[in-house]
Amino acid sequence: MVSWEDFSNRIHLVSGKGGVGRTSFAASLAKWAVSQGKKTLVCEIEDESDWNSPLAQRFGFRRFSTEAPDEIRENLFGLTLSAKMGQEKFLTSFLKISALSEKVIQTKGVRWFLDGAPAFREMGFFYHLLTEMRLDYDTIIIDLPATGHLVGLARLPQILLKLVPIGPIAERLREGQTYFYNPEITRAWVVTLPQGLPVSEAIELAVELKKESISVGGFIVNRMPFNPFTPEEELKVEAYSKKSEQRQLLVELERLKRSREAFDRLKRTQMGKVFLLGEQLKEDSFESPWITTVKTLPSGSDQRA
Amino acid sequence: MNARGGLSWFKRPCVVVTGGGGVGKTTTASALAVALARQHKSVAVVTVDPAKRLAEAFGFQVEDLYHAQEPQDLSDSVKEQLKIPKENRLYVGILNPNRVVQEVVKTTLSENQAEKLTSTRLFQQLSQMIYGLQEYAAFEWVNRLIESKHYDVVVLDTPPAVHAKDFFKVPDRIENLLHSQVFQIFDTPKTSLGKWVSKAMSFSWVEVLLGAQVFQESRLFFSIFSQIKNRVITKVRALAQFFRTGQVALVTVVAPHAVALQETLGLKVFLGEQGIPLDAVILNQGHPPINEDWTLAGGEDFVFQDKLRRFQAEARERGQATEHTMARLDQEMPEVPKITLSLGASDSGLALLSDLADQIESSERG
Repeated sequence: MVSWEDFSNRIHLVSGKGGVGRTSFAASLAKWAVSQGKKTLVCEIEDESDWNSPLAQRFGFRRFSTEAPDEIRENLFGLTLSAKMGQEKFLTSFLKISALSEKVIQTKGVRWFLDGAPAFREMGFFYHLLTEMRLDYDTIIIDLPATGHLVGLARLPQILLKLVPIGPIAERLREGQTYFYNPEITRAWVVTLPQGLPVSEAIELAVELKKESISVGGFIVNRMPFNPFTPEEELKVEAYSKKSEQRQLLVELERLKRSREAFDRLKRTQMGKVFLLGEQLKEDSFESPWITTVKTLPSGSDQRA
Repeated sequence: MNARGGLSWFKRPCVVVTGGGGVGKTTTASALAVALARQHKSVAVVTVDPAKRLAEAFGFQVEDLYHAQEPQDLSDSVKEQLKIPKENRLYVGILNPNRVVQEVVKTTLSENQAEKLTSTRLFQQLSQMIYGLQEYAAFEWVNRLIESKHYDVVVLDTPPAVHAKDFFKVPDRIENLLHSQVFQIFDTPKTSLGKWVSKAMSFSWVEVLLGAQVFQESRLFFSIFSQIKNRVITKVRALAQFFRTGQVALVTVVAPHAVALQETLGLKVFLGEQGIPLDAVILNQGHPPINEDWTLAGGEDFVFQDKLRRFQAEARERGQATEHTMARLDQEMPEVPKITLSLGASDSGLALLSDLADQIESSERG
């Protein structure tokens, strides 16, 4: 069984392609943190389309506020990170006197520049997150849709520092780096499926994150196929399927083998732990968060699910 | 494999493949290209995702494709494994957005101006920063490939996005960005003194934020970039119209789970509002209904038999999920042709592509 120790760092960047169970994992991790008595913030990046937020919906909200965290329950808060909010917060902090900063923000040129100039949108997300990191949350979980967002966020400080090497923006970026690039504080989790291509992509993402100096906590393998057999039984079933020409059974057995191979490939990378979720999602609640049913397997290949 | 309504879109010059995350869009687009290459003399498949494994499956290094000017054709041995006739050609390309934008800059601006623009730091970071740039570059590229008349069909695997419909919103987003007044603050003031003063004030604030050097560079960037703005806007508007021309077949990929199904139903509604026809839905990662009885493998051992029964029940459930997804699609979009693809004995490499292409072909005939 999984232990809280594996997730005791403060900031969790949760990534993975759509449909792999990323948001389920992020939400469940938040519930677990709360059950451990941690003051927890769960957040996601603003999506300007009119879609409901799947993360917020898991907590009974349509979407989380961008202004200030919504209190979901005691010790649990939800927030949407917004570029505009981050930019405004930045200007306010930089210009100190808020009446003045409001005037600056209202200055059309500045507004236009922040909206239109490349990278300043991302800078807004980054700064919004930074202001929350400075607060007293024990655990911060960020659900990052599409792997590009995570790499983008991870890379942003370097990109922007090249662009703006000195001055107030650079200072904030360097502050953010002290949080992001410290493995004791920040870890990324890559949620994936036990199939060839998704696993390759998960490994590539992990390698990319390492290159950007973000520590990878591990992989979360979702929908591992149900395998009730002992290795001997599996061989018997295989022999039977060949003898009696049960083609569908053979395909299913191949599927078991392939998912085991995919899983072993993740293990062999030795880039953090590999966690396993069952094929069926258990009911997720604060009392028994789904993630606590996650299995960790001993190291070494050819381990059974 | 159930195709209903016929696959007449097989004959269009461009096939655009969309889909939400995690449904196997790149693989499906490639399998589609293989199926097309078995029937057409010259097919190109271009992907925006630097899908390493996929490039390797076709026998290429991802870097080689990324840096190549044109899509590269498959070797004879790869073609043979994919059952593509020797005389036909299948070209594979990975989009390099930077290169495409640089080409646009080169052909639109004078040499001197182009060099100034590309030397600014803002330009060098451009591709990593502007949302929609990949999509725009993909369109520029596909357009050029079609116009070259070199290919019978060009298959475009759209960039990965959270929602399939994001791709269709790109023209609006880019146009909004280009119309954003950030360009105006850097324009030479021609207006009244009052406006000039307010502009100068904005200027000084931006300068304080960025520092003098970056500020000067930004000024250069925006003032030169505004010269290619109109061309980009024209192209972006053409992109918005592209899907309504009848040249394009629009295919979306779905998987048998609730998130992907919702995504596809949402996309259909969105396309309906936009007046863009959807030509086919491909249900990927499907699972055929189980009609075998596996419990016999257990012999007399009841515990073993029970395990087999559970294993079989679980496989049946997945078959039902596939049926359910297809039934919902039939109900919500009866007029759209649909194909189910199921995973066979292999889940990667050439064997998978060949297998999926077989399934697409047989549904096209059926």
